[in-house]
Amino acid sequence: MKSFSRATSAKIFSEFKNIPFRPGRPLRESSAFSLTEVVIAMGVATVAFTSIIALFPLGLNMSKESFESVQASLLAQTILADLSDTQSGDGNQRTPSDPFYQRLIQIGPGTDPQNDSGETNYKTLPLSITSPVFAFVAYKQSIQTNSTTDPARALQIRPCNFSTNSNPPLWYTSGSNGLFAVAKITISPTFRITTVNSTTAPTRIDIAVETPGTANISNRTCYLFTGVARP
Amino acid sequence: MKSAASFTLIELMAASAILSVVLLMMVGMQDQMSRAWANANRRSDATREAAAACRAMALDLSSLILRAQGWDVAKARPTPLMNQGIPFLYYSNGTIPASFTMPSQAQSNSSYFFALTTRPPSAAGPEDYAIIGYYIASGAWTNANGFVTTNFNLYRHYVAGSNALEKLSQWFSVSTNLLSRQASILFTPNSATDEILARNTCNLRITIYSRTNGNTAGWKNAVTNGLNYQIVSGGSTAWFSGSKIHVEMSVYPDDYAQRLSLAQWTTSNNIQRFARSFEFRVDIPRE
Repeated sequence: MKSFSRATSAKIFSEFKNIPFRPGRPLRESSAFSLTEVVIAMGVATVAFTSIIALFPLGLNMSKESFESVQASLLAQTILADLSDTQSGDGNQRTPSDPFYQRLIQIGPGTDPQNDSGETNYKTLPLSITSPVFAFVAYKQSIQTNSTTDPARALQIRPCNFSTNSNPPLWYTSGSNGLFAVAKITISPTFRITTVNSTTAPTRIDIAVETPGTANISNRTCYLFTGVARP
Repeated sequence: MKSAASFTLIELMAASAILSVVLLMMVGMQDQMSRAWANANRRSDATREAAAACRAMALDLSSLILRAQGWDVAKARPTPLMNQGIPFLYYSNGTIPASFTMPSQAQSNSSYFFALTTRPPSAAGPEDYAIIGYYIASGAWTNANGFVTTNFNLYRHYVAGSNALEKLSQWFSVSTNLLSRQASILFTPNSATDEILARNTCNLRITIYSRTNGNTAGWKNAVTNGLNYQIVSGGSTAWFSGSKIHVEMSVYPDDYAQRLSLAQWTTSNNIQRFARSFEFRVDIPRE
């Protein structure tokens, strides 16, 4: 190892003492970030910002999805109650020969089946069947109409459109502005043990409630429910 | 000769300023994010409470015993229920009928409902029977911050088993006179002891739909608001021939519930803007 005298060392130190010590960097007249460093730093910052911004809608979606799933189960509960009910309506809303094979289902914002002889808010669906029957219902938020003088009228999810065509309507396949949800109801004789038009065998009811109703069919969340009703 | 490369004061100040702006933006975003999370959580909590309450009510209501006299021939029931119309009480607009006392804290213009229920499979013993009821009343509670607040809750009145049948026996033994039997014999809601099904609740609406043309031969008359029962000797028109029960309610998230005065809870504007509303129907079993 080469050694210097004290005088030589002092001379060398005096020449270099004004240059700042930067470990890992070559000594040069000016230092700056290279393009690679800047690009990497921007990449890291972008990932961090994106992660933080992505958290914004997460909380809102959580609340929205829980609301939609609860509403979907309540809509299914209501549909099953309607299709199980043998008492609502009068002869004008049923097939006179077999009144209890027809069930009323709500298709409009009014909930009272007693005051609906014109099939504005309720329509019949058959339960005594040998092949599946399909029905489609669209729902939107509307102010409850039980009483127009009620001081406290809430926004409820009520039917606004209906179809029993075997081909799904356009508002079901493509969604429609203002819809909260759409539902597909399938009434099928799955539980029948005979092929005859039995009057007592249970009928299977499948209900698919899909949200949001504004979205295309492939972009909706589907909640499935199954129940049974007897003709 | 420039022998050293270092940041100048201007560069440092500019960098600090930019960093400050970025940090401020980050803090602002964090603050907004926290608020959004908190609001979403409160709304989710409200939705969860409403969902639980709806499920509990649907279970109770789907096993009600609402029956007019003469419809119980094929059904085995304990002694006080045989050959009797089963009373129930409901009002859709919160008006209190004579001879009945609701808790003083009950929400005005809100429905209440009291009836006898059973869970299938039903037996002849009293263990399967219960008196249930629903109403909204105010109550004080201490929130997470230690402050006492007053809010409206959905209460479930419950009288189990033999106690329920004892009350019914007392009811039927009073008199065959319709006016002599008072609802307070059967239904004694008390918000201090009844359980809370859901907090921050308002606008309970319970509607019983019946068959149209209830006077048609073979079918009993449509149900009317109020106490509904049949005296043994016949002659009353208060029969039940019903079809289904429709229940509506609204739930406020915690933050809005604490901001509103009790009088503001049931205005349409506040319910539509701040509350979440739920409704469902239940097909009523018939005997």
